[in-house]
Amino acid sequence: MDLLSRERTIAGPGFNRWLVPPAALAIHLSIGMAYGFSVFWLPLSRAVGITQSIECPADMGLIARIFATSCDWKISMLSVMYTLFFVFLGSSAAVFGSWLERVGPRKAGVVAACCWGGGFFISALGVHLHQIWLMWLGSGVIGGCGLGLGYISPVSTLIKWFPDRRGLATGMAIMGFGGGAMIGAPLADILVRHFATPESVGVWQTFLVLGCLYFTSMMIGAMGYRVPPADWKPAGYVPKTNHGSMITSRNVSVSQAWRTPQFWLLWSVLCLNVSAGIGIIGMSSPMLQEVFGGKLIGVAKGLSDLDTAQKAQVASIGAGFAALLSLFNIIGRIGWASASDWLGRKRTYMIFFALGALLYSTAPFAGRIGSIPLFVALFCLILTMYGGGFSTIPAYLADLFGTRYVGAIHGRLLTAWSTAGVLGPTLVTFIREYQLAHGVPSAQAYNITMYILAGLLLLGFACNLAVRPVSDRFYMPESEALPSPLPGTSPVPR
Amino acid sequence: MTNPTDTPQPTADAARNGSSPILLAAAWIGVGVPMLWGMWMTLQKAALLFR
Repeated sequence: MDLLSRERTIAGPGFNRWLVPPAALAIHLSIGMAYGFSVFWLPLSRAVGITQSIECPADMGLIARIFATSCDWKISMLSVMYTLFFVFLGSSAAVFGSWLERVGPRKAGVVAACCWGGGFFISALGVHLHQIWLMWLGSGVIGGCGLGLGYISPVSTLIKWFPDRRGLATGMAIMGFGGGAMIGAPLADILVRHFATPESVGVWQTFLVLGCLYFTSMMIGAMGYRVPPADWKPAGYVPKTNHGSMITSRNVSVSQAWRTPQFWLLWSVLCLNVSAGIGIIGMSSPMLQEVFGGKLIGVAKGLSDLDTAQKAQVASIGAGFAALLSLFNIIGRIGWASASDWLGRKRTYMIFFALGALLYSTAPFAGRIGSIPLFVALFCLILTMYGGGFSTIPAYLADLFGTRYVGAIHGRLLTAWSTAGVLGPTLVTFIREYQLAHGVPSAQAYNITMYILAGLLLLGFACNLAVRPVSDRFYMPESEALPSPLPGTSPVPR
Repeated sequence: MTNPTDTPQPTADAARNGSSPILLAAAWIGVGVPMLWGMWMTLQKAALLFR
């Protein structure tokens, strides 16, 4: 266990800091598969029937369905996994953030590998025994804790290694979380098809293989973590020391940070940015299909007037649109976070919210004039800012609260993501259903949604505008903030 | 103190601390190749939008 201790991770002379981002990416690319879990829904929805889904009797209750082995799971039951991911990611990051600062990133990375990889093994058993609660427990709860720990494990370390390029450093890691599904989903699809037999849909075997792959990759990443010595600085780097600026050289402890208005303003900033973005991601494919219908394949008909083959063509174009958005989500994570190093964090979020609100409001116009390229371009840009919101926030926190406890503070801030993960889709679904119930045509039902999401972004703009430097009374006294006696250590005050 | 560096130093220290240019290249290839593969797969899917 000594190998995992913080003292053993302190970099020696000659260590190259550019080795830390690939270690962080190895972890983030693995846990990023959480976004790609929907690839399993279709095969799992016919895990018993194999060729087609066997529905449970209509009078069967929810508890009986959870334990039933003779009928198939509905996709609505399977997608509970996403709620569990978001909730446990945020809560574990919040609860274990201080522990991470105390024990160091390597131990946290190893625990994350055990949780995420182990979650896949438990899920494999759940699929094999056809017990959905085992899947919820394995990947949802235990895996969700792995997500939270894995997500925050490199943040503090990267910021300490790259004080001169905080945005770039965290952007590189958090880009991996966005990119994980890009690798994992097609890989899972290949594996499911490889393992599928007349007796099995091939998912439990795929879970076992992915569990091994992700566990190995995350362990390699965790063992690759190194923390800088306490007084280390990049060559030629001079920290800004003027008190009262938006970048501090002092530190706020975790227990003090969440008593500051700045913490809650940034919490709202993240929550509102993510709520709007998640709402769009979830409805991107059906939205494109319903707004443009047959125009997507050069036929002057609405979606409901197309035949089955044409609808299939349109659906594959919708899937292509969703794939394109995921790519721009990743580009935004690295692009905007790096840009924030010279734009400034506050100004970067101003751009997200002002430009975002403008783009959301323009989307109905693009639909009305029937311009597919404009519509696609608008949403691609929107998605870069959704991704950028995630990757720029750790650097924003480090600027305001100092680098010493940024991992733990970031962990607590991620509860905003959990909240948005529930709020965003619920809001979008509610608005849409309300409009459809009041006779609004489905192609136009997205317009009001866009204006409401733009309103959320304007609220985010106001919250960001209110962010000011943290008051002096919240900073740790200089005596407490001195480097720890043991190089690289970072005791968390009670 | 001797500081960790911005750029790789092909010294005995660097080799002992696992910071050789070969290790650095291997680490980036290890994460870069799967990412490029994933991006390629995504681009192929996205290409349907432009046909």
